[in-house]
Amino acid sequence: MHPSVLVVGHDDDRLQATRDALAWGRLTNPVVACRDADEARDYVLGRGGYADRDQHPLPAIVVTDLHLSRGSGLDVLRLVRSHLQLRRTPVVVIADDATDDEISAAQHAGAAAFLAQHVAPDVLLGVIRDSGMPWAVGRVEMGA
Amino acid sequence: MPANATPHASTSATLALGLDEHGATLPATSSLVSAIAELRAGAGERHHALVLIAASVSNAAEIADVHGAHALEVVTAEVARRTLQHGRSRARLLRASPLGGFLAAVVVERDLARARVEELLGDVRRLVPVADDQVWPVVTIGAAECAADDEIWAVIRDVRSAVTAAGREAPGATRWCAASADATASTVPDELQLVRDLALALTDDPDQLLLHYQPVTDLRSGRIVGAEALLRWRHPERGPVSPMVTVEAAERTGLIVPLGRLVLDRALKQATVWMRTIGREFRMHVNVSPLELRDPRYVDRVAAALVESGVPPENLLLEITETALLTDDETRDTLLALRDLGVGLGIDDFGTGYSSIAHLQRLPVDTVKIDRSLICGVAGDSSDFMLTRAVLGLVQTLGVMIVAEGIEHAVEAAHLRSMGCIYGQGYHLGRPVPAEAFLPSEGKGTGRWASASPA
Repeated sequence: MHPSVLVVGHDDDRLQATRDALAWGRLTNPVVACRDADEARDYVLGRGGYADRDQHPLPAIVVTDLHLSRGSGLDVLRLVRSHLQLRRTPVVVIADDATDDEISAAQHAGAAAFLAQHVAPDVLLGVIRDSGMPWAVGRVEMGA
Repeated sequence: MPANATPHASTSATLALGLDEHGATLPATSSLVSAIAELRAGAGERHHALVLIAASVSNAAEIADVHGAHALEVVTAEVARRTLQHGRSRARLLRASPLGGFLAAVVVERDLARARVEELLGDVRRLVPVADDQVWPVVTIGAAECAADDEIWAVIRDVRSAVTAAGREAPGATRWCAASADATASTVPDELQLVRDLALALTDDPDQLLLHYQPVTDLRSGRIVGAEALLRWRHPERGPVSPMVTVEAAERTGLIVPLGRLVLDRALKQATVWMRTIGREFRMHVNVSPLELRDPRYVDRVAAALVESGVPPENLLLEITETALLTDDETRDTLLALRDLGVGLGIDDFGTGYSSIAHLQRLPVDTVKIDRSLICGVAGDSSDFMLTRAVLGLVQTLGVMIVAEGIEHAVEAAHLRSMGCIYGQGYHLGRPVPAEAFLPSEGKGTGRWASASPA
C-alpha cells in the first residue's frame, strides 16, 4: 500500500477540494484526514486507533493547517521533524491569516512550503512536486 | 553620440549635440512669429483655424545612409511639397531643414481642423520615388491649433517639443499638443536643462549623485547574499530626480558613459567593505545600459575598475535589461568578453516586454531576475502562482541563478520559496538605503533574518 498524504485540520469542503486536486494530478496515494493536532499526533506516533501501521501507513507528505483546534500546525510540523522515520517528509503549512512571525517560524521549523489557504488546493500538487519528490509518492504525471 | 570622448569632452559635446538634435534649426524669430500672426489673423476672419505643424522625417539617417544625401533632400522636398500642394487645405512652409524637418502652417475649417490635418497627412505619408527605388518616409508630426489668444512662440515651442517626443516614442505618429495653456507641454527645454544639470553634477558636483543599496537575500536562511546598487540623484534645486528620468536622459546624450563609470566605481568600493563584513560570497549587482555595452572599450573599463578596487570579478554582477537590444554583434562580443573576464551577467526585469526566453538562451548570462509583475500576484491568486511557478521552471532549465524582484509581503516570499525560488529582493526583505543604513549593525557580519525577526 502506498504511504499516505496526511491532511490535518481541513473541514469537509476543503478536504474534498484537496482530494480532488491530488486525484486530478494522478497522485495515487491515499489521503488521510485528521481533524486536529491531537489526532495528528496519534496518527504520526501510531497510537490509539492508529496503532496498526499496515492500516495506517506513515505519511509521505503532511499538509497541515497552521491554526488547529487543540494545538498548532507548528506542533504537527515539529513532531514530524522529530520523528526518526519522517525527518525528510515534506510538510506543507497552510493558513490565510498568518502573521509574518508565524510564516517565519514555520520556515525555521523546517516546513517545505507555506501556502495561503485560498491558493492551496490549486497549487498544492505542484508544490509537492517541487518539494523534492520523495520516493514514496506514487506516480505523478508531468503536466497540469 | 560621442561615445569615445572623455567624460569632460563628452559633456560639452553632448550639450551642443543636444541642441542640434532638436535641430531643425528653427529659431522662433520675430519674422517667423509675425508671419504666423498674419496667417492667423486671416484665418480667423473666415471661421477657419490655423494649425502649426512641425514635421520630421524620422528615418532621415537611414535614407541618407542607404540612398545618399541627395535622396534625403529629394524625400524631404517631396514631403514638404505634398504638404503645401494638398488639394483641400492651404498650407504655408515657414521653415525647412535639408535634414528632413520643416515647420508649416495650415489653414483649415475650424470645426474640422483635426480631421482635415489628418487627411492631409495621410496623403503626405506615401512612398517617395528615389532614383530607381522607392522610400517610405517615416513622417513624424507635432501639431497644435494656434488660437487667437495663444502666444505664438509658445505654440511653436510646443509643436517642436511634440515632434521630438513623438520621434522618440512613436516615430511616424502625429502628436497633437494639449491646449496651449498647459504649462507642462514644454518638455524639450526642460529636458535640455535636465541634461545640463546632470552634466554639471557629473563634472563639478558628483556628491549630488548617490548610490542606495537594496539587499538580495537567500529566502531560505534570510542571509544577505548581495546588494543591488541603485542610482539616486538629489539636485540642490530640483530635489530628488527620478532614477528612470535620469538614466533615460543620460542614455539619450552619451552621459551614460561617465554616469555608468561613476556608479561602477562607487559600487565596487562599497563591495570591498561588505565582502569583509558580510562574507566573501557577497555579490554587488550593478545596472548597465545597453548603450554602454555597445562601446567596445567597456570591457577594459570594467577590468580596470575591478583591478583598482581589488574586487574579484565573480563578486560583480552586471545587470542588463531589454534583452532584445542585446543581439547585435558588438554587444554580444562585449558580453562574451565580460564573461571571459569572470564577471557575472544578469538579466533584469525578466518577464516584461523586452525579454524573451529565446534571447536568454543565446546570451552568456548566469543570473535572471524575475520582474515584479510576475511576483506581485503569487500571494493572492492561484493562477498567478502557477504562472510564476511555470516561468521559474522554464528559467531554471537554463541553469541560472534566479532572483525574484519586488517581494513586498511575507506570504509572497513564502510562496516563492514553496516553488523553489531561492533568492529574492524587495521591500519585504529590505528597501534601498544608503550604505550606512544597509546593515542593522555594521560589522556584525553574518546577515540577518530580514523577514519578521523577533527583534
